[in-house]
Amino acid sequence: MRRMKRRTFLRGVLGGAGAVAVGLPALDAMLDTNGRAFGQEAIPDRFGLWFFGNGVKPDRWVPANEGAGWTPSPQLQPLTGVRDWVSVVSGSEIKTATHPHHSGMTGVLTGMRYHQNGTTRDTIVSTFAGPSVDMIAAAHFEGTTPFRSLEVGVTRFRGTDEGTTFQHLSHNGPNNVNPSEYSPSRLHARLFGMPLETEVELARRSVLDAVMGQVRDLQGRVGARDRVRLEQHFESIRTLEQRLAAGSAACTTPENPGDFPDVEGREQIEQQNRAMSDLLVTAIACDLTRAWSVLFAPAGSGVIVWPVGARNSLHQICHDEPNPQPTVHNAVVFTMQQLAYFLERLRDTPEGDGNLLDHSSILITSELTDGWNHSNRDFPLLVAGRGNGRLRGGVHYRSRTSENTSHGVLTALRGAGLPLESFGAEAGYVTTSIGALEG
Amino acid sequence: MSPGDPRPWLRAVLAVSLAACSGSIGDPGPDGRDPRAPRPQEPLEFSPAPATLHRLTRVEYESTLRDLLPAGTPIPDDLEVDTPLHGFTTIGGSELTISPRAAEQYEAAARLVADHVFADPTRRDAFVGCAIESAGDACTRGFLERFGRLAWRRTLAPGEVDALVALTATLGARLRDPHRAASFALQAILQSPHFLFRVEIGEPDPGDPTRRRYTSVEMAARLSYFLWGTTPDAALLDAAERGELVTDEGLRRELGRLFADPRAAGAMGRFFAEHMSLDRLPAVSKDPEAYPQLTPELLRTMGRELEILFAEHALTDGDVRAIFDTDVAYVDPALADVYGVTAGAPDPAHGLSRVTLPASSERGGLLGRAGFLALWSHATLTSPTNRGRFVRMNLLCEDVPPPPPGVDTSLEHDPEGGPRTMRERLDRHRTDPVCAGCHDKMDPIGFAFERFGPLGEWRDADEGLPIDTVTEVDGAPIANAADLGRFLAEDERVAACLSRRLYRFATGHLEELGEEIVVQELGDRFVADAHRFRRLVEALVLSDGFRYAALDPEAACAPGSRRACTTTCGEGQQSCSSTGSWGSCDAPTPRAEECNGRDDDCDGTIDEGLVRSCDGICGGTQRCEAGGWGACANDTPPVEICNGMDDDCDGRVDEGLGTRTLTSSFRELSGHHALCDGATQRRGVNCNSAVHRLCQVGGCSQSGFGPVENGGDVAAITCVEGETRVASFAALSGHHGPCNGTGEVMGPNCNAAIHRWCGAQGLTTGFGPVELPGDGTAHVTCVPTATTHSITYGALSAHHGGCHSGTRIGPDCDAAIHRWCRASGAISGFGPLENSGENVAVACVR
Repeated sequence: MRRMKRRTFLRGVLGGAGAVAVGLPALDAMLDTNGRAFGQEAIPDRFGLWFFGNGVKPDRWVPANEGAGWTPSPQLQPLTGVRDWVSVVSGSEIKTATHPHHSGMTGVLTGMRYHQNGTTRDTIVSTFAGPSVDMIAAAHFEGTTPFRSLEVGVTRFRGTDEGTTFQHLSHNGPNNVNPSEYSPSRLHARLFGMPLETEVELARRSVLDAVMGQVRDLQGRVGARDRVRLEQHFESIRTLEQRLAAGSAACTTPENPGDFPDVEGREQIEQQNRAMSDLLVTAIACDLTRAWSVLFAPAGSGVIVWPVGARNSLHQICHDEPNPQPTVHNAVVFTMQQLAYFLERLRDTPEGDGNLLDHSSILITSELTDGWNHSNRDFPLLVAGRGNGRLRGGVHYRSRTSENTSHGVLTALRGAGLPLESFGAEAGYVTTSIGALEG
Repeated sequence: MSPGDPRPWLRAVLAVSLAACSGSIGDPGPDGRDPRAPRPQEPLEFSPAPATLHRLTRVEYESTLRDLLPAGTPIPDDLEVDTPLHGFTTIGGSELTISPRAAEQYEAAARLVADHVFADPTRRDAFVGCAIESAGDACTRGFLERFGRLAWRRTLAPGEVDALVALTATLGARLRDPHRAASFALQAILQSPHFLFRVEIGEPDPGDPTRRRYTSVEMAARLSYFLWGTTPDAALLDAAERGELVTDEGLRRELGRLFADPRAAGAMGRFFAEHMSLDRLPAVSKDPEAYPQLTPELLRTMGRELEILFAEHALTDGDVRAIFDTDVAYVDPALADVYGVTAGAPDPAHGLSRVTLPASSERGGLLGRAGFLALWSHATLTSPTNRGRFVRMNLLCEDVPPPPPGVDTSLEHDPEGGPRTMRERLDRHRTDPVCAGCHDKMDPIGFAFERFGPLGEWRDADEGLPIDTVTEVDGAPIANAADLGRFLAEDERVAACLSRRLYRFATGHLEELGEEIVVQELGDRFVADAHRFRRLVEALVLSDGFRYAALDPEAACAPGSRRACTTTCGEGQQSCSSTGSWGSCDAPTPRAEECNGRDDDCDGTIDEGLVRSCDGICGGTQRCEAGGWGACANDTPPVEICNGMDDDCDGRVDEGLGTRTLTSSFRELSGHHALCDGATQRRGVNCNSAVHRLCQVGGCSQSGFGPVENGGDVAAITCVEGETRVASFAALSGHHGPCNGTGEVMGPNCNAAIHRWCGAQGLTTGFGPVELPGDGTAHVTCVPTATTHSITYGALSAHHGGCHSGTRIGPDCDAAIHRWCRASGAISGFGPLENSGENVAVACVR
C-alpha cells in the first residue's frame, strides 16, 4: 500500500463527521487488518528523554533485587503499573566528573565534559560540548516526521547565571539549544494549527529558500565561529522548509488544554504535567515526531513541590533538610508519579498489535545522584519502553564495577534502533550497551 | 572612598581576591586550569576581541519591530526565551544561534506582522509609501530599498534589492496579487540573518594594521542597540553613511542626541535590570501560608522600585553611588506594607508613591529593598549565602566557584539542641576549612541583611532568637544593612565592577585578557568623573574596546583579491571590497521556484509542488508538470474568504462572511485594547471594545462579541454583521432601570436593556457595550438577523457545567451559549438576554 499523502489524509479526517473523539490518534483509522500502521510500513521507532533535576535518595531508589521483575523500591513505587516496560540501571557513575550539576548534566547527556564559556572568570558558566542524546536520535529520524523533534518543559526555570547547562535540556552543540515549550496552549497551536492555503504555503517556502541563500552568502564573509552559528541557522530554516513541504499533521485535534498559571502562589505542577504529557502522547501517536524531550525540572531546579508539603525549593531542601530527608524523598516519589502518568498514557495508547510504550525507548535521568552531596556515583538511570522488541523491560541491572553511565545511554539509543557504534568521548566514551537489558 | 585616599587594606584585599577562594579542593577545569587558581597576569597592551554576529535579544527584537512598523501593529510574543550568559542577555545573543524552533517562531512572527500591515489598504499604502500597481514594480522596489535599509541597518547592495524584487515578481505572478507578494518580501527581510543578527565584520583600521575597526555603519547599530535597545533611526543611519561614526567628534554628537531620547532610559534600565538580575523576580515563589500577600503585582513593584531609583541616580547627572545610600523608596500599598510605611498618592509618571524611609528602618539604599532581599532568599528562609554571593560576584566582580564535588553541603539542625538562628547554622561554613575558603567571601556580607526576612520584611527575631547583624566585610566593621550600603558606596571596587559589567553588556561579550586595560581605565575614568553614569556611557562608547575588533584572518582580506566561494546554487567567486571584507558570492542565488523545469530555489528539487489558480474554472487550479502548467482542474470547491475578492465567482465580494467565529489571542486583542491582555482582563468592557475593533479589520464584519471560548492566550471570538449604534444610558435605563451607566455599564441588566433597546429600534436584539466613550452613552451592536431562543439553564449546563442558574452570566455562560447555538446549527450566540429562575433567553447568529 502506498503511503497516503498527509494532506489527503488530513482532508479525510477533518472532512468526516463533525464530532471527533478528542485525543484519539487518527493513525488508528489507517491501520490495516493486520494492525500495522501505514500498510506495509513498519511501526516507527522513537526515542524520548525525560529529565528531572536534583537527583534521588539512592538508599530508597535502587530496587532490592536484581534481574527481571524487580521489586519496586519506595521511590520507584509509582512505576509499578509500567514496571514491565521499565529497566533500572544502578551502580554506574559519571566518568567525566569535576563539578556539581554541570558535570553530571553534560556527562550523562553527551558522554562528554562540559564546555566552559569564557576563560577570564573564576566561576563556571557552562554549556554542552556536543549534542544531547535526544538530538542524536533526532538526527537519525530526520525527514520521517513533520517535526524533527519536540521539547517540552513542565516546572518553570527560575534563573541561574551558570550557562545553558542549567537553563536548557536539549542541545545541538555548544551554546546551541532547543528551548523547551512551557505553554500547553502554544504547543497545541504549534502541533495542531490549521494549514494555510497551498499557495500561501508555497510562498512561505519561497521566502525560506531566499533566506537560506542569504545565510549561505553571509557564511562566506564571517569568521569561523560565526560560520558555525550560521550553519545552525541554515539548518533551522531547512528543517522548517522540510516541514512545510511535508504538509500538515494527520491527526484529530485534541482540545486545547489552556495554560496553568500559579494558583494562590502555587505552581500547578500536576495539571501542567498532565496537559503536556497528553499533548506529547497525541503527537507521538500521530507520528508528528519520533524524538522528544521532557524537561520535568532543570538541573539544580528551584521548583517548590507543594503537593508533598515542601515549603522551600527542592534545591534548597536537598541541602538543608536533616537526614533522612523525608521531604526530598517525597518529592522524588512525586516526580516518579508524574513520570508514571506519561508512561501510562503511552502504554494505554494502542498502536498496531501493541502500544506506544512498546514502540519507544526512553531515557530517564537526572544531573546527579543525590542533591545532598552532589554525588555522581550510583547514578539514577532508567530505560523505559520495549524499543520495538529490542529492549526487554522490567530488568534491574546493577553494576558492581562502577561502570560508565554512557553504557546505559547507549542502550537506550540502540533500543530506538540507532545503529551506533559508540557514545561519548574521552572518559565518557563507550562502545558497548548493557546486554542484560536487551531483548 | 575618594581616589586620592586609597585605604591600604583595600589594595591588599584586591590582591587576595584575585586568588579566588583559598583552602578548598577541586579538579582542574576543562581547560586544564584549576578554576580556584589565580588568574594569569593581565597584559597591559590592548588587543581587541573578535567581531561577531549579535543575535537580537527578545527585547531588542520586539523594540525593533515596534520602531520599524506602523503604530498599533501587534508585536508577536511567541518568541524564544533569551539565555543570559555571564549575567547578560546581550552576551547570550553573541554566543547562541537560531534553533529550529526559533526559526519557526521568527517565521510566524514575520507573517503575523506582515499580514497585519497589509490587511488594511490604507495602512498598507501609508506604510509602503506608494500604491503598488504590479508585482515588482518601481513602487515595490522603492519600498524594499527603504524598508530594507532600516531593517538591515545599512543600504542594501543592488543585488540584494534585485533578489527581493525578483521574489516579489515571481510570487506576484503565482498569487496574482502584487500586495501579497510584497508582504512576503517583507517577511523575507524580517527573517533574514541581516535582520535577526547585527552583522559586524569591520574594516582595516587606517591607524593600525594589526587590528580592524567597526565601520561607521556598524557603529550606528552598536550605538543604538547599546543606548536605545533598538534599531538606529534614519538620522543615525544618515550620519553613519556619511562616515561620521568613526570619529570622536561624530560619536559625541550622536551620543548627546541619543542620550536625550527617552529610549535611552529604557535601554539603561534594561542594563540595570540585568545587572541586578531583576528578570528573575517574576519566577520568585514564597510559602503562600507565610506570605499570602505575595502576588505577581508585588513582585513587579519590587523590580520597578529599583529601576526608578536607578533612573533617578544614573540618568540624571548625579553620583550614581547615592543609590546605595538613599532613604527614598517607591512603593505601592503592598510594598509599603513590607517596609512598614504608608504609601501616599501615586506619582502618575510610574504609578508608585515616593516615601522616605526612617533611619530606624536600617534599610539604607538599593540593598535594603525587597527587590534584592526577596530575590536572594528561599521561600521560608533567608539566605545570607545567596545575598552575599550576589554582592560579591555582581557588585564587586569577585567570583566564587561552586562547591567541589562530593562535599557535604548540608546544614543539619542539631536534633539534640534547641533552635538556632540562620547565622548560627551557617557557622559550619566558617569552621570547616573546606567550606570556609569560599563562604568567608559570602556569608559575612549576608549577615548584615539578617534583619530582613525572605520577603524583605523587617523581623525582630529569627527562630525566636535575637538577630545579630554586626559583621566584618573585607576587614571593615559593618553594623547593619544601611551601614553596608554606605561601605559599598565608598568602595572603589563597586564603581570598577559597575563599569566592567556595563562593558560586558554593551559589547555583548565577556572581556578577554587583552581588553583588561580598557576595562580598568574605564573604571578609573568613572571614579575621576565623580561616578556620573552618563559619563561612563560616553567613555565606554569612545573607548577602543567598543570601536575596534581583532584581525580575523578568515574574515579579513586584501582589497581587490578574489577567492572561490559557493552558494546554495553553485560555485562562484567573491571579491574583497575596498574595506577589506569579502563581498557576496557571484554564483547564482536562490530565486523563487518558477514553473520552468529548473531548480530556481536551489533546494535540489525541480518545480516542486507548484500550483496556481487558473482562469476559466472558478476556484480551479493547475499544477506544474514537466516544466509547464498542466490542465485546469477544480478539485476544491471555491470558498469565499474575507479578502475583498470574489473567490467563489458569484459576482459578490465577501458575501456572507460577516458572521464567523475566529480563533484570536489575547495578544492580538490587546493590540486593539491594551487592557484586554488576558491578564488584566479576559472578559469585560475593554475586551468588548477589543473584539468589536478586531472584527472590523478586513471590513467583512461591523462588530463582534466574545471571547466565546478562552484558554491560556487563546481567545475565540465571534464577528457579526450588525449595526453599531449610540444609545444613551438614559435610554437604556428606560428599558431596564439598573443599566444606568453608574450602577452598571455591563452585566445582566445591561444585556436586557440592550436587547430591549435594539428590539425597540426594530433591530431584533443586540449586545454591548462595545465602546464606552464616557459621555453618558454606550455604543451597542444590534443584530437584526439574530434569532432569539427561550431555553433553560439546564440546556446550557449540558454544554458547559459552569453555566447554571447560580452563575447566570460570565465566561462559562458565554461558552455555553456559544456551544448551544452551534449545536442548534447556528454559528455562535450571545446572552443571556433575559433570565428568570431556570429560564433564560439567548440570541444565536448565523
